[in-house]
Amino acid sequence: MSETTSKAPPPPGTTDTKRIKRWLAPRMQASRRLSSLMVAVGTIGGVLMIAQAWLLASVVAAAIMDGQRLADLTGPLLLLLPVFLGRALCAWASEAVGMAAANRVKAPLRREMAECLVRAGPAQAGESHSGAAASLLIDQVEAVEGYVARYRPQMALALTVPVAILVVAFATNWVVGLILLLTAPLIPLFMALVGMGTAAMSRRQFRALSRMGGHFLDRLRGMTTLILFGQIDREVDGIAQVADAFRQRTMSVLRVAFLTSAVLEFFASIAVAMVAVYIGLSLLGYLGFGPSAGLTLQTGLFLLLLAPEFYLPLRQLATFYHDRAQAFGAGEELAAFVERTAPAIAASSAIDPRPDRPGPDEPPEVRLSDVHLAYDDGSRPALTGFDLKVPAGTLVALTGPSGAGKSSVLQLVLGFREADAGDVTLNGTAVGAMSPGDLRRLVAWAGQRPYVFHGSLADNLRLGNPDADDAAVRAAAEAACVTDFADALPEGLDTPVGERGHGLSGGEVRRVALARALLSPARLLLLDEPTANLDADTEAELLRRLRPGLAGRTVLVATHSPAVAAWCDREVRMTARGTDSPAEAAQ
Amino acid sequence: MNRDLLVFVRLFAARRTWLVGGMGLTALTVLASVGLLSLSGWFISASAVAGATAATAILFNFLQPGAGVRGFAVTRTVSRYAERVVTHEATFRLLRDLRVWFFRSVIPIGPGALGGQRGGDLLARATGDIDALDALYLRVMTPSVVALAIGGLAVLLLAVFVDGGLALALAGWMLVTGLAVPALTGWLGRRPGTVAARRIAALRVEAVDLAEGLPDLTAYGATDRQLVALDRQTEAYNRAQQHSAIVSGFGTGLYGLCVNLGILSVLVIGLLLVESEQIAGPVLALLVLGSMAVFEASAGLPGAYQALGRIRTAAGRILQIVRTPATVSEPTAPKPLPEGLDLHLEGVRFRYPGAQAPALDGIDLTVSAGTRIGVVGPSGAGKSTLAGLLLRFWDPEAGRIVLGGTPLSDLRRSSVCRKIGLLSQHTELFDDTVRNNLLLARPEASEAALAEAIRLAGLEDWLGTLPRGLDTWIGEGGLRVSGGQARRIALARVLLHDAPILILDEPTTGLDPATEQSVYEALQNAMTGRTVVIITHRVNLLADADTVVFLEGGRVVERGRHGDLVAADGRYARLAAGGGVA
Repeated sequence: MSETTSKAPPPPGTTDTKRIKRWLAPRMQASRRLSSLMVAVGTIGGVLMIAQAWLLASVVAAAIMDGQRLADLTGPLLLLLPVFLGRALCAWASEAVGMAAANRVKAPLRREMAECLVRAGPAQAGESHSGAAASLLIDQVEAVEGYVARYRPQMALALTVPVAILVVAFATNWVVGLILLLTAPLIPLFMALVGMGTAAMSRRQFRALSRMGGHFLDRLRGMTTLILFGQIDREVDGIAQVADAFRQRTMSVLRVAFLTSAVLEFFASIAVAMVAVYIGLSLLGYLGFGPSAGLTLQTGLFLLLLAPEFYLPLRQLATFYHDRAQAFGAGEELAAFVERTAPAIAASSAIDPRPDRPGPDEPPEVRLSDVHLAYDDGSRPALTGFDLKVPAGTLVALTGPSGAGKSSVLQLVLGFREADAGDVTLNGTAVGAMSPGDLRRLVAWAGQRPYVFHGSLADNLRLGNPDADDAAVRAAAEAACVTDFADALPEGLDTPVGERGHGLSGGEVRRVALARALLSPARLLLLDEPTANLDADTEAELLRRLRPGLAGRTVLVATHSPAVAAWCDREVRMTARGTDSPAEAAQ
Repeated sequence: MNRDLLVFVRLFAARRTWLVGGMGLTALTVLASVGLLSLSGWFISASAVAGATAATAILFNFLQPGAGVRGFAVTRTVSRYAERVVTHEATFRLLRDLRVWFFRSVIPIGPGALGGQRGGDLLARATGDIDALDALYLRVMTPSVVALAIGGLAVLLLAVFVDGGLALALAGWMLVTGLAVPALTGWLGRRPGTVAARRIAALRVEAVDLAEGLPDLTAYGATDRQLVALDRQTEAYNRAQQHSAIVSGFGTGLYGLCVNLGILSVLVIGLLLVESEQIAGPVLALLVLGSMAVFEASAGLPGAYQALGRIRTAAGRILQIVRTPATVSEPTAPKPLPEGLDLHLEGVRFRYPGAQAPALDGIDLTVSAGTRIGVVGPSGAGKSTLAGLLLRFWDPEAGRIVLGGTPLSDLRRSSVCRKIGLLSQHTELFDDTVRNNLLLARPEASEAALAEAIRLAGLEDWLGTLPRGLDTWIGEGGLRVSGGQARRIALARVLLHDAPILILDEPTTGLDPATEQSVYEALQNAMTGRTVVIITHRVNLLADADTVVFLEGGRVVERGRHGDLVAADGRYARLAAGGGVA
């Protein structure tokens, strides 16, 4: 496993934790008031708990020592009811307020991540793992919830409530106060000692867990291959072995981690025992010093009831520790994402203002002169000194083997990427110098792997022209042969598609993208392999129907198909750059 | 507990020693807690009573209760620690069992139903559900059993030694806090919970649309619209979550209130018992403090109830997958693997479950040993279905497939796979080293055989560029492998597997022309000396084929040698003329 561990980032130490904390801190600001409210409510709950202990102790002591009857004690007993109710309300309020506080943090955080994603642009987004960005927007942002809603307020409560108890204890009997005070600082000390080791270990553990899950999922997904090679029994053993190895490693960590709670448990138990024995001996009159002589059963019971409560907030904090770990893990990813996307922000792919004025009516001329472009920091050249001229209103086919740079040319014209050198101009204006809005009004694009959004087919066609009427949508759908399959669907163009909707085949999706481009008012269309996956007859039919919709537009088509090349006004052949290029890995 | 969960409880029974041990230690922890608090309460009360006069104070034996208090304190600490270690150990063992059980359960269902992209997604979701199931023990079974045991014991002791009414009151409040309040909270929370689940699913759709549709959104200037849609879903989800939190907070508050009312009831009844001199004064303190600790035993139940809902859903989903009808059943009396290698398809018809039209309709085909057969046709013609039938992922609806004189349906799937190998356009690489990915095909292969397969598949040069060579980790957690290299690894695997019959299902699809050519050259090595069925839409792979069949709509529409078919000027000839892309 050393191969993968060497790839993974080193387990962050305390400096990293500090860095993440600093990154998270300003984003927590929005919840400050609600968090304070939560601490206030929790502290009130703590004070009420003290009152409850006092009332209970009074009633029990009065019955035992003074022989008071139920009828004599109705006063304090009835007083307990509002205390109970108050504590219940405090518990209720703190959960509700905690969620409100978390929501205050999560919503802007999600917005920030979404904006980063948009600003980084499609070129950058295309390089990251599919689904990872969506998981970042949802899961990693949600992972902050417990930290805001529970851990942070509990950190404050772990101070306020024990201090309140301590004050009361000292006021009542300084010996008991001293017992609590002396054991108190030991707890954070022990927790820190144990916690420091386990924090690093639990991160590694988390990675091991996800790796074990990955192994299992990997084997499940590859079931067909395993069956084909008759390796099922061996893999069953493998799954069991990985799980066992994981259990052994995890338990070795947990055995240490559980010491944290054992330490807390120990002090809570021992303090109760010490307080009980001290009070018992005082009441018997064995201890004549200090406040012992004045001790009564009422105060004794009161202090005994308070002793376990003194440690409770800290014990709760320990149970919320994983909220913190989760939030810091997510924070690391989120911060890295913001950092990663920051330098990629190009003017051409910045957030677009909604098009409010119509684009130009005339088709533009496209020119690339002496363009250089390389991927991966220049290590993978895609275009070297490329020239191209697409006269206004013409159809030009870009042909050539995969990896020759056809898609790169389209990406440059779209402004998704910036050329390392050379000029890319539309009607003489550099693409990079155009405002995003102007560029979008001018250019439409049907990519190789168009995305189908959730919604109806018609909604998908309207992407570039939200106000298009039904007739226009229908016309575009017919021209792009979308109707050929849409009319067979139960609800035609209104059939829900995309996530959770009707699945479309690769060829159908490309036709949707073509219809999208046709429907948009843009005068420059960039079509990337529009007829891939189509048989010859269907291809011919599609090209025939597309043609009228392209009148008055400049069209640049990247294609492998001789039929498409013949259909265009002109063909530009690009030469192969290399073989077995890494670009295919993205396919 | 419904029937679905019983399946898992039975599965868990194999680990009963660990499970019962964990529960026992959990119960012991609570018992020590009850002992510590009640004994402390009694001890100081009795001390106070005795200490009232000097004479009784001298007679009071404080050593025993003092030692008891310390004993309980230590027991509680130790057993809590042991409990956590043992229950977690048990949970990890259960997780292992669950995974192995699931893997074993889905295998017989077969790649027909669970293979491919859709099946993969289904299984991916299932792994999350399996992880959710291990909470059945830790969060549901343990708290329930412990609450029942401790509560029952406390009620029994009270009824026998103290007072029936008091026992009844405690039992009543235990039921309220342990069952009624969690059930009420669960019932109240069901709707907000469903709404929140729906909202986050909708939010996820918007996020996926933004992330994966970013190129299209950017190209059409529609990113702002999508950001607004995302914000709107975030707000809707936040509202749903807020609602859920209000309900669950209400549950928490109500639970605490009921626990306190339970303690109050014990106090009030205890006061009456002191009045009527049924119990001594210090026992009152014992009862009140002891009952506080007893209620702690029910503290896990609201969480258990919540977890139960999630677990039940997860269990239902997993069992749904596990109970998917198998696409093929293993023969009850499997025949031995035949010597012959001739494959005959006789009137084979096949229809996918739920489909109207048959995918294959009356296919007759003979693949004689040592020959090379090409299968071409437009997409949807049934080419890949044919491969699936030959590998027995499915059984034909009518007609039969015979291998060396024995019908495929009389052979074990593992036997069929020993004879027939597959190279498809979907290369499944595992998150493992290159070596292990290759050895998968034949774990006992010698270094020499491995090297030979690598050479024939044309992997040598690429492996030479990797610092760790064969031990390079590939897949999600390691090096990303390009499409061409993945295909070559698959090819090397097939070569190692060394089945006499080879099915090539679109072996070069998705590769650029140059890579395609080099993979094709490597393929020639694999085809030498084997019976081969090539499914493709590239006619250039078929020039040497003994027979080519053209499939359309599940039927053979043309059949013959490559040259003859081209001369016949039919569908195949047009395909060949059009650059070979059907």
